[in-house]
Amino acid sequence: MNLNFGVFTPEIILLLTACIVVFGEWAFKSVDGNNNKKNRNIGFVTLLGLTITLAILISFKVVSYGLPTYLGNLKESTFWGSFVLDDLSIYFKIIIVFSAIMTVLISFRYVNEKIIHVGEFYALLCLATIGGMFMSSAAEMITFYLGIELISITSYVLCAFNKDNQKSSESGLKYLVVGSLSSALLLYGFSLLFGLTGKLNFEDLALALEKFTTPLNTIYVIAIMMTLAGISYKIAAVPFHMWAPDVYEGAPTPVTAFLAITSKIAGFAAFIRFLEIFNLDVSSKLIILIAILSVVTMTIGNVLAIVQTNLKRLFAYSSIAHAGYLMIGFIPLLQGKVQEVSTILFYLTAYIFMNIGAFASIIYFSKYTGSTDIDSFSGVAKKAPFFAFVFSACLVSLAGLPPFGGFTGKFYLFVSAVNSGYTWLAFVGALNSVISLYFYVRIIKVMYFKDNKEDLVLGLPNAASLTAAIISLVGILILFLVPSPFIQMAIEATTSL
Amino acid sequence: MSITLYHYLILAAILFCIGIYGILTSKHAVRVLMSIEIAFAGVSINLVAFSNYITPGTLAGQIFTLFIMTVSAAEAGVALAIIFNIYKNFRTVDIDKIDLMKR
Repeated sequence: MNLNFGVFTPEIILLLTACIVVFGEWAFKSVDGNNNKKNRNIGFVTLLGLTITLAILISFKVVSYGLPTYLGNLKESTFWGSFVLDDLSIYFKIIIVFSAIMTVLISFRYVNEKIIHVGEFYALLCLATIGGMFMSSAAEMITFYLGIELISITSYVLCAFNKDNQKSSESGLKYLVVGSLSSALLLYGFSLLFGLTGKLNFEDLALALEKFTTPLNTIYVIAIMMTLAGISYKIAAVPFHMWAPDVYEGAPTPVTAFLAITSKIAGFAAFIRFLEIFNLDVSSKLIILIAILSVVTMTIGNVLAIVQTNLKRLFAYSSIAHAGYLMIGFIPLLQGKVQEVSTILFYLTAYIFMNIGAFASIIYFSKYTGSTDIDSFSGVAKKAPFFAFVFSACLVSLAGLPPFGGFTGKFYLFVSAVNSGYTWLAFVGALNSVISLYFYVRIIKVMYFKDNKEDLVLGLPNAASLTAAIISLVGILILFLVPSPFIQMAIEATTSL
Repeated sequence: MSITLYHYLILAAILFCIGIYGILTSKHAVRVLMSIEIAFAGVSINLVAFSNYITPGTLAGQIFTLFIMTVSAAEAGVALAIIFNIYKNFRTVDIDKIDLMKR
């Protein structure tokens, strides 16, 4: 019997933060009706909780390397193997919590001004983060399902959080319907896998599935398809990408950032965990499917992004395209070369920085322009040169050009595709980067070279979003200039696979 | 005629398909919600039947079903709140009329 609550410490701290923040809604309430101070205090408490969680996660990593017995290969499982804390899950948890911290930073002022129940907003954000953390260390179907549902249900509420806004409610409803449909598919697939093997634990499942070789049992094929469909909605891969543009556009902008970054990272964590269970024979069949889906996802994302006029919608398609690039990393995983998963981890790290910078700028500019249409951003570079510069740097990085981290990440992904014998995939990926350059550069052009018609007055940015912008700019530069320690960390994280 | 595993599986598959069909075609938001619940019921029957016939003696499938019931209750709560909010904003719950963002 193994009930080690120690491995839950980060989750428990975050859960406590969520509880404190909800009650803080009343505790910090001021009598004179001015809620600015209350909202700020609640935001600080959330940041504090998230930072403590991050510190504990990092200390797990440090401690595991300090002990000679672990030899850098930590694998602690608890509750009868349903929850596993290994190097991969710690890496994923660190980037999930880090991205949540950045999301809180960029949403500080937006939340203060536009959201009524600030405590509940932050509490739901913390709970969604816990869901993502559970997904990254789930080693068993029930935990996996609970993690996905925890992040999904809280995201539905977050999307519909602007209660009086029609678009926000609509995005909540759409996300809810698509999310429930996908979780039904996922569960049906899980039930069939359970029926085939009688196992719920992924490790036992992998052992039991060893004997299924081609030609495959029809039930097994249906089970694989349904489960993959259920998970790929979370990363917004084609053909389960339809919800993304509408949901991203309608949701409050900080929530859009959360969905584009944290939720996607959690989806990839779950995907990697799930792909481990197949034997090599089945994997070789899955590779073809994944390669085709990857190409279709990145192409649809990039081509449809060209015609968008709304920035949040454009970023939805951009995030779909990035899911396509990242899916290239699954191919070496399915070939059994687990070390190459580090390309996904590295790219996700770069992905956080470039998206946070972009969303920080979108939130800052749209506060004064009053809309997220691309044309409303015309000429903002003259008024706010720093944020325009950060936004441009992040866009160039998203397109995959040097000297930014996006280039390094894409380079490693494509190299791993070539090494796995899928040169055409790397070629299509590079071609797609060129297409994406078109619509990313168009935003830069609007910001720098178009005159704004009315007299647009931009106020000073607040400290929190300025910090986030600086961190993201420094982050993408560091990931380009000195990538090796980060790649080393990512490779070490894959040793436990 | 005795009831075998296959009878349960066919019942579950039919329920699941009715649920998916309902989610995809219903116009009324509450009907979508009911269809989701039907699909989950199909999955639950599947799990309990498998647990009973494939791994008799353990309760893994039944436990999973309990979790599914709990989570889908939470989901239904959230869904009803969102639908209520939709009705307040749009004065309708017709799925086809709630598409401000189509282009």
